Amino acid sequence: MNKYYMGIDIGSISTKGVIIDCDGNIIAKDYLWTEGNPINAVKKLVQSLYSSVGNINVVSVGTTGSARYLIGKILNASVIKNEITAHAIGTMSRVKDVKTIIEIGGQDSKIILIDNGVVVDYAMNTICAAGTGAFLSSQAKRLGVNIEEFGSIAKKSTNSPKLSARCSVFAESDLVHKLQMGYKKEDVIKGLCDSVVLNYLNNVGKGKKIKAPIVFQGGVSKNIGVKESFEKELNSEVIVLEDSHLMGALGIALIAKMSKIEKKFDFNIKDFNFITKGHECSKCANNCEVVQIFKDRELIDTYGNKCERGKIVS
Amino acid sequence: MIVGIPRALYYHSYSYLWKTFFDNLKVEYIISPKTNKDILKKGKILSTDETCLPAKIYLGHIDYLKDKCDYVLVPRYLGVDKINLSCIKFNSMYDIVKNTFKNIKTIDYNIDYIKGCKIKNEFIKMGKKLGFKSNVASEAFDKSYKEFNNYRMHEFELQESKVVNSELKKVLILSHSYNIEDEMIGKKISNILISNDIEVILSSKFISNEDKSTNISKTLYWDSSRQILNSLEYYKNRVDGIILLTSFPCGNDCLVNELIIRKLKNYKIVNIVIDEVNASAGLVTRLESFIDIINGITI
Repeated sequence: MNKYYMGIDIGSISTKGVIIDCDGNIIAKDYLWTEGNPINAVKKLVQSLYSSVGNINVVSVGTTGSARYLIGKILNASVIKNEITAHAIGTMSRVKDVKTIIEIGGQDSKIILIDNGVVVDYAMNTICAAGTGAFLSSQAKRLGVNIEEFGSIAKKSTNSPKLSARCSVFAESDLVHKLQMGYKKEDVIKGLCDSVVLNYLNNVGKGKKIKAPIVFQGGVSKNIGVKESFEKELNSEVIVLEDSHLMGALGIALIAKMSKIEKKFDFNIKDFNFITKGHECSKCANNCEVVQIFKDRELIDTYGNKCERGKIVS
Repeated sequence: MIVGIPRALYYHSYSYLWKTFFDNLKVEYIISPKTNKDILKKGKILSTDETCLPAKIYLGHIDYLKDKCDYVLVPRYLGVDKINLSCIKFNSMYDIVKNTFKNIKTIDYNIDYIKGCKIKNEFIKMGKKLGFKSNVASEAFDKSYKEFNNYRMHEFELQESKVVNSELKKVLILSHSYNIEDEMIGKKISNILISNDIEVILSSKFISNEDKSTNISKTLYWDSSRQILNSLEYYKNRVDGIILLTSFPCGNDCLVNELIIRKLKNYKIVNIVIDEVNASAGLVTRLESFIDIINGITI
């Protein structure tokens, strides 16, 4: 029987999943909104993957993204790994000689530098979420545009105004000001794309040597306006792969395959009822945030506790 | 009579000296617990929002001790000479404590090169305040200072044998002792590294009489930053990766870490900033990725 591997990347905004075969080809994929409920999103995702390939022999599951622990426990994953490594591995499987990965997601942005197939350096945005997907989609709402059309509208612009790139709160007031001054909507949208790029290069990319080939991914890479701003600013071609939003999921599926840890995956997971309970443990001054996961009322795991006292057994 | 020792700031460098000094004088003392959420919360309320995390934590510890002992030990530390100074915020800590907690009873010593204060004289003064004759205090100090130096040497040698003998990948945590040893700053990081099978090497355990920090900067004032640069010179080629650990918003580290990153090429370095926000998800992601980099994961 052929072996298949599943990779799931649960981000703050969207949940991505792929199933690959032994040669690393994607045979099923999907992408949907997390909507603040990672468990439901993953159940829907598993359902969707199931309906496209049927009950195949998935021997190993990997999870990545900000909800990787929670979902990893629920799916009984073989590997639970950070998104930086997952993205690097996924991208390297497609663009062998990639040197720089620019990743802008829903709430965070990263830069990953690769040398000879090994990750050598990375940076992540810190407490500031300026210039990420969440910022762009809230601005799209303000302008009454669909976020999916953002890029194509920006393309029409001939003369983009300079918007503050330091902080998205100031960028927003700048944007209103420019609109009131009479700039066209497409110009302001292009200006926003530019400010996302400048913000990224000044914060996340600060002090890093960005060398070609450059691959741009994460949800924002689907925005052609931002891609073009990057190309103009970096003076170099920026590659956006067709499945650019799936690189994390692909990477973690490959890592699951490489791990050689096999745990049979059952698609009927979608029919179970999972509940999580979070509370602050009060047994000592650490006040750990403990999360319990129940599968059909049966406790399957507790995490977040620093010590045994925080572990609740029943 | 009970002396309260706050488990914060200088404690992480001098605790052994303090404890042996009080032991030798047979003075009873209590030590505040490891930093926890309550202490941090109290410290945050007592501090202005611009102060750094270790300073906030310090006030939290003082608050814990203030009603539980007769005197709280609050040293003032300006520096031993013109080019070995403490951070300006910590220099003012003594006055901040006096102003924040009205009527607090402290015992203190003052290391201030301008007034020519020598550490031994200061400890003798402290002994006098606790009711001991100067020869008794002097004797106690000599004894404990010797033990203190032996202890530091012992710690350093212990670490040295780890560097030489350990088969694991080694990561140097480069930071001030009050960051490295604090339960809510450095310990969090050490624990994550250790659970990922990494040998943790601490810059605070390094001792040397030679000053090699001038290789990186000739004009650095802060002795704690010099300690960091000296240990960097000593360990940098013997570890697999370096973590620059800063607590938000440290002015000295802003400068020194940037210097280190610019001057050190071809080393695996990551800059980790810890603030009072307690979410550890981002921290875990950063550290795990760094560990992957050290392990050279590839396809």
